[in-house]
Amino acid sequence: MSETVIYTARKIVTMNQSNPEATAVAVREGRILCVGTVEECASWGDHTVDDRFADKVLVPGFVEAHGHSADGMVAMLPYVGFADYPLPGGGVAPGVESYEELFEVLRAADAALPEGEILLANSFDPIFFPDEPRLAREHLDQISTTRPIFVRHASGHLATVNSALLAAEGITRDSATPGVAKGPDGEPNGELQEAPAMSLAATAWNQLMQLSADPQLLVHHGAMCRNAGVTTSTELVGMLLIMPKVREAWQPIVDAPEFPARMVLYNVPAMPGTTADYDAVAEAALELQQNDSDKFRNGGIKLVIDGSIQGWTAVMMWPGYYTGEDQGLLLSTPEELVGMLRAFHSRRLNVHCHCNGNGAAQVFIDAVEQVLAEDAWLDHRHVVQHSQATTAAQYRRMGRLGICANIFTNHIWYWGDQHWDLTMGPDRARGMWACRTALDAGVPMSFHSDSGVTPIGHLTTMWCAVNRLTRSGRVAGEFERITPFEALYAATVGAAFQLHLDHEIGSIESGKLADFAVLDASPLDVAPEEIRDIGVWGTIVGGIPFEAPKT
Amino acid sequence: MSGSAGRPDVDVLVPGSASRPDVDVLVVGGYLGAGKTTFVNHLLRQGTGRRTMVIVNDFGSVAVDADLIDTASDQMVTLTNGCVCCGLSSPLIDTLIELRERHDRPELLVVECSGVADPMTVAHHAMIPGYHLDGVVVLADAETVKRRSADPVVGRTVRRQLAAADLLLLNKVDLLPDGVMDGLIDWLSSAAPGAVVVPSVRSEIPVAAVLGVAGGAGISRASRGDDGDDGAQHNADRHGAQHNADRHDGDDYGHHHNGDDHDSAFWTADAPLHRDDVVTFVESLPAGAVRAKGILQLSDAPDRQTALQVVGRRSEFVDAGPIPPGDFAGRLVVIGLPGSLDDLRWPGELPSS
Repeated sequence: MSETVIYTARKIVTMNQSNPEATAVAVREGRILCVGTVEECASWGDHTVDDRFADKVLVPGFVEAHGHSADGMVAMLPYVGFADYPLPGGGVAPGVESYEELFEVLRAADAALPEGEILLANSFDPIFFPDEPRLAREHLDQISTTRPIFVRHASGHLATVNSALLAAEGITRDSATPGVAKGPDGEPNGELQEAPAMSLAATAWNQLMQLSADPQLLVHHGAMCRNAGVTTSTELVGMLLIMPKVREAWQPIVDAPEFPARMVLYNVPAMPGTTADYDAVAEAALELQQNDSDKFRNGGIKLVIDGSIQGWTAVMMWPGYYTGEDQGLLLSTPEELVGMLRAFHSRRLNVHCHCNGNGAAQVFIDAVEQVLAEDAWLDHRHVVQHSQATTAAQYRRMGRLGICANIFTNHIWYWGDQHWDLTMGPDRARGMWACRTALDAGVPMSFHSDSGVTPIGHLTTMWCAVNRLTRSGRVAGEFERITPFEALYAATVGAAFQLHLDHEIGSIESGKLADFAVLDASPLDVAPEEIRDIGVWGTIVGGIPFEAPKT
Repeated sequence: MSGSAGRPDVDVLVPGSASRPDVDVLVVGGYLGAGKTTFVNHLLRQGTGRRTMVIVNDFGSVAVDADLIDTASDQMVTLTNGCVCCGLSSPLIDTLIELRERHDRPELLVVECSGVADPMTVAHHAMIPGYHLDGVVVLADAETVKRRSADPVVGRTVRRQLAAADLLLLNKVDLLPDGVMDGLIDWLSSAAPGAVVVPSVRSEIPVAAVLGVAGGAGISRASRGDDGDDGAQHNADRHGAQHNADRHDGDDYGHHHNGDDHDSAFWTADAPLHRDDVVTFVESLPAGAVRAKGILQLSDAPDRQTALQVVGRRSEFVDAGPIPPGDFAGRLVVIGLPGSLDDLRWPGELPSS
């Protein structure tokens, strides 16, 4: 007879509509045995009562259906992004809101590094410094004229380096590689644009390549999940179909008892920029699933068919971008997209497709409609990922076709003003991240952080969807606000549904896995504008408590 | 490639050292269904005469006869003609970084793009140290290219592909209705202003025209820092008896019609050339001239050899080391479509600047 533990709490918000609130939950064999009062739980027989959460609120463990383990980079490199970023060990890496703050971070990093080592920093975002001169080597030369410095931009497409780095790598006015930006004097100004130019900074490039493949990233990611109340996360650029050896490094980390989250991988089918025999890839994906465990799953396939709106590379329909030059390029032909979707759809492999722009969403919706007409997988849950600019008409089609939306609501706070002022203009910015429209059209919906792009954590995604406040204090689209309950549903059951895991996770319900977020208050009880400030004690995953560091 | 498409621009590139010659890179682009894979399979079957690696977009689509295959593995096939064909298992930039360090790196790398790739972006990868961009070949489906270029979703992709071309293979012209071709070629002259447009059927084009290797060339790869034994006779051996390498030593100019294949023309200078005259020569090349190469003595650098390479409408001068002791005469070779070189005029025959 295995042990039964009854956790009591001030309140348990179950997201199970037949039994919405409780004060005790019994856990046996890592699963939920009973939800109700202590007495109801105790009636199942032998048990121990654990009262440590008696003044806490339990909600279903948050499910992040679009995460990346690359967020662990924040613990491995100096961070120079604009927004504060929570660290896996607690506390935050403060954002840099001015060049002076940027220089302070770099000076501190320089002072801490041994002589001879290169200084790498990550996540600088020039879109937030419209009134400053473009970051250039002269700025970084103020930090050091001897140590090479390489500042990678948040987009991943650019870097700014100092003169010492240019000299060490032999990057000169004669460098013929496109993307080595040059000043009016013909000398490199320190900006390296796109991979060929960035690769000239060979030492930095190699270190970044090694870091991006470091399994330690995943360890940090797990800690950040725990700190945010996330019990199931995802790697939405899973590499297991391209580099099967990644599994040997990853699965033992996740399966280890001390790893505080479940991980679901959505694997990309081919190297970006190439195509493949998708039937063979689909068979390989099914094969991968044979060795999945409770905590480590290969959920389905990830496709990427456009870029980002704030990078002007998302595919937008008329009238396109508000300001700036449209660089939107579809990353798959519509014809190829149907072919690859067919290979996965016909094998009942769910497809999550990155579509930031409404042009990309259109192409994906068309493709799903076509494969559905050929092959009626009625319980497909293909997902438009990011879904930032999806239109009302597109949501109505998605509702009829059963296509889910995973909406990148964090953009409302993090880049909402930039979308309002630069990329989309006020009227369309009000209709971006159209959660109300999606729900009214019957579209299964979730939110995500795209962790690494914004910090993982559904209290923030929910806060954005409920309040729609930008940094400058605007309400970006009051008519697209949703209720806290709808938001909590999206962050739990809604996300689990898109992963085809809502029978196992997403609500606190007998038979499901015992995954809970342990909070100081219920997001349904606090004032809506305080949702993101709710304290997180940690999580319970499979019945095991994981406490976040005190901050 | 740094200049805008449409005008010949002259780049000065730094060639590889004598011990580590740069790898030439040919980029093959074009929209889905334009014939890229057919083209690459042609190239693989015919061979290139150089140690060649082909990175294909879809490894599963490689179709070469079994008796041509020497060894095969998961993501790589080695053919008996020396071509190595492989898929991509890491980002292209990292593949190129690793490849250039290898002792068995190829002399020629052909990169087949995906159907939506901007070939210019891929070409930029071939402009890192250790590589030399040899040219961008873009295939276009004659039946659909104009319509696709106006498509609201993929139009921009198609237009960028066309604009990136040095050599544009207007493919499947046999399927065009009568009387359409001329208008289409006119339209392409603005859609692909940097390109020589070559009509084709089933992606067929002489390898020599694509790669600019002609028996009559007499252009030594010593100019690129090679070991210098890769001269005319050698090329002729590799490219068949129709080439007229054996005649060039005694001639100082000539035109060779190589059957239905392609034409080549060569010319020997008797004095150092003015750089501007060479530019004028390049700008005046006939429409069907696909490639030109030269090893020249220029009046502004009389003690240096200067290599000239022209592909499509793009040209570059590359310093190729000191003038060797003994007699030195500049040489030029032009490769073109059959019948296209009849009106070719050499630097001495054009108005001088």
